[in-house]
Amino acid sequence: MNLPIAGVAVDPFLLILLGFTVGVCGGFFGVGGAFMVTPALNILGFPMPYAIGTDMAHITGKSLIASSSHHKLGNVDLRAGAILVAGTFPGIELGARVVMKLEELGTVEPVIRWVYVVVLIGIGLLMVKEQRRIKRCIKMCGPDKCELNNMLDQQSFSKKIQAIKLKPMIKLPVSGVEEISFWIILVVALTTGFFAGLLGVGGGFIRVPALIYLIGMPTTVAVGTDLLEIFFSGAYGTLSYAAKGRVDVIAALVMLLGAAIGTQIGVIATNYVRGYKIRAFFAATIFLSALSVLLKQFNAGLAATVLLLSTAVLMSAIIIGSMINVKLQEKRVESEEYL
Amino acid sequence: MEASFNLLVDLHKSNHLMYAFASLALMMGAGVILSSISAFVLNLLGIKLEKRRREEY
Repeated sequence: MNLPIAGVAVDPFLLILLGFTVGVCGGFFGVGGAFMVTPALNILGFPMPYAIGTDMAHITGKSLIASSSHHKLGNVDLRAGAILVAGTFPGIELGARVVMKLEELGTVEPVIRWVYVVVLIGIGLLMVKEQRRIKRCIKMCGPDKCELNNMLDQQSFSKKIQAIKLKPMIKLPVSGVEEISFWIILVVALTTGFFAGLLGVGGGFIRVPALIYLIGMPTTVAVGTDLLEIFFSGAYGTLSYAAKGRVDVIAALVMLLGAAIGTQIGVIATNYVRGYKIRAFFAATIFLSALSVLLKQFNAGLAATVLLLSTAVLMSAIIIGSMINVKLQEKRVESEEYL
Repeated sequence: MEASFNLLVDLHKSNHLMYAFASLALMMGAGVILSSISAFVLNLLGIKLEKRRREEY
């Protein structure tokens, strides 16, 4: 397929497959997936500015599908989402200015890569620590009690944050948060936006854990609300890159064909997989992403991209497999009850 | 199909600002349409988007 805007010829099935796999991960984890799609498009022959711009356009369509599907499941907190959108944009701008400053100093690439690795590994370790506690708990009291204990334990830090009475206080009924300071959500939005601007990514992989562990949102609501924010930042990015002529909208539309199905599967899978398992898969993805950034740092760019794409394919297979497994278990229980 | 693609290519050559708004509108419109179509296809396959009662954590 000839794409005259970007000036490349690409097999459309590869674009559809890329859209599908990243769509499954995006709908399930609440991330845009720019860190996977942009290098993949670059490998397929897209010049880097076109790869970023085209990915932005594809993310806009995909996050619209994902956030509306999550909204139908009651997984989008519109009130928190509005504050996140308001806070993320200045944060991105601040991060971008730091990048400009680092560029002047000539240290932008290694600094950003190391910050990326430290942030990814930090978030991953936090999630692994939580998983180990959950496993201990499962051994002690069985899965259901464990989930309750985990919920109480996990909320303890967010409860401390919610106890900060800095007016105006707001309620987040969809997230089950009785009262939280408006300023805390704004600070979370600014900080995650800052990292998104600094690292040149959408920031979903930072924002989702922040919403879970700092604000106290349930995992599925954090995923849905983050996708709403990604829609707005994706739309802004699309306008910005397309106004500079760096979006191949035809390629983005072809990718969206696969992403539409993949995203819906990812969203539906959040309905079948328990919150702590979603976080476990998320932690694995984060560690593999950190490894790929390290590979890039040591001049193994191709190996890094192959690792990222393999991660996307592997995770989509695991997510779909987990959903099918739960469905089969339910059918077995139903047929046993019928007998 | 080919005519509309050519129209987009011409717009990209002639007016980037118009192209930007057309791209955004197209992606959003395609998102809405493809969302319904994919939901319908998945529904036929028995994968439904429905609320389920389960523990949050």
